[in-house]
Amino acid sequence: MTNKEIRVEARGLTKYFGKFCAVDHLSFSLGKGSLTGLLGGNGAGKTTTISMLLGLLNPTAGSVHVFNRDLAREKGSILPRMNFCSPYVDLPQRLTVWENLSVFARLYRVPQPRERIEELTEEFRLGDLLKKPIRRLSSGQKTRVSLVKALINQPDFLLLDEPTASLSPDISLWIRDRLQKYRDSTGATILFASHDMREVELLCDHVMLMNRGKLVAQGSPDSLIKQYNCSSLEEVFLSLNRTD
Amino acid sequence: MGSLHRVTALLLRYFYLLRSSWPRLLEIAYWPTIQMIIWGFTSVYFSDSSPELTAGGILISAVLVWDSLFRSHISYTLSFLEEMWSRNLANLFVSPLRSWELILALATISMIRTLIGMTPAALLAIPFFGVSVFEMGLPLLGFFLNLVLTGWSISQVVTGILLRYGLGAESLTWMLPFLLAPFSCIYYPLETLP
Repeated sequence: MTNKEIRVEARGLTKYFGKFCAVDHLSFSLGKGSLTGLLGGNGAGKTTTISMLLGLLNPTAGSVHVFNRDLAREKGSILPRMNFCSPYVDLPQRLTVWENLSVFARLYRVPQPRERIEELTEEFRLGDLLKKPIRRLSSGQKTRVSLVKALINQPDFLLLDEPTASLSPDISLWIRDRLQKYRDSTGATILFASHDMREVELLCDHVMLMNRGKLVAQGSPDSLIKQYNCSSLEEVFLSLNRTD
Repeated sequence: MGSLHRVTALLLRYFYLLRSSWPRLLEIAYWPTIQMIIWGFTSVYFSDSSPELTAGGILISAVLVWDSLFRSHISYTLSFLEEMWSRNLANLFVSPLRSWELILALATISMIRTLIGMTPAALLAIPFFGVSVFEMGLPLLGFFLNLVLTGWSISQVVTGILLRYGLGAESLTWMLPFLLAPFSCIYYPLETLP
């Protein structure tokens, strides 16, 4: 990958909480238009890694460069081009869908916010729910609103932390399809953290496997399956965990 | 220009929140008014036995002016707590919003809420007890701004602790301003202190 193609680069990313090492010397790069799965079991360090990539947590050591800029120093120019979605983060429950999206459109200074909200809510089948408070939505509807919020500024780098967790398979499939379309139409770089191996296998063209804070394997789903002589990504994951 | 957009975005968010619940809006004015009424009657009760304590409506005025510190602090911190309760902080912190813009938005909404809360209480004290804090003139503005700034300073400490220790430290919101109260001599003269 040339420098122009690299959107995100982590070098020696490390995070300690007291004496506990949550992320241990993680180095990787994500290219323009790549859809990368970040896999790992509970406590593998996925969410900590994502938090550092978002600038929510300061790394103990190492650095993150996004769009060839140092995140620690140039957050102000990087964050308007990023966004994220996570089931562990909510939108204000008392505000309606329209109110929430209006606030975030203004925060990201979206040009023609009304049109952008209408376009996205139409695409995510939320047109009838605009006047409903978030607290009255089902979990599937809430996830769709969170995804619309994550796409409101048409981000060049989108981080998704288990966006389909606790959703029914049909909605998960529908969301995967939307994300693929977004990547194809905009060339955005997407990092998708999950512990649903099947989902990552279906969606991502590159996979990074984490275990106990370390990057233990990476490559395309097919290449990893071949390399470890397994029949699925799930088997790769289990074999790596066993040998560890 | 970008900062103005982001600050107004947050103000819009707090405006939507206020608009979504009329009991909340009513509550802003409710507590200062109740305080004023209780201390107004207390003042009337003491007016015969201790006229020096109640002369010129000094007790009611002191309570009202002191309440502007408490209200400004509570309004600031509750708006911040709203983000924690609704688990929205991460959404804000990964947006282009800068720390000082968040502080400015919280201070602005706090000022608006404090004025909404204090104005009816101060106005009602005139017909109810014949006490007008507005008779203080310009010093009232000085007192008010000083107390509001002190309220925000306490809020800064509390929100810092909340960020570090999470919602477990929520009760500090109510505890910290009352720590100042005994030494602020609101209900008694300075000479009373040991």
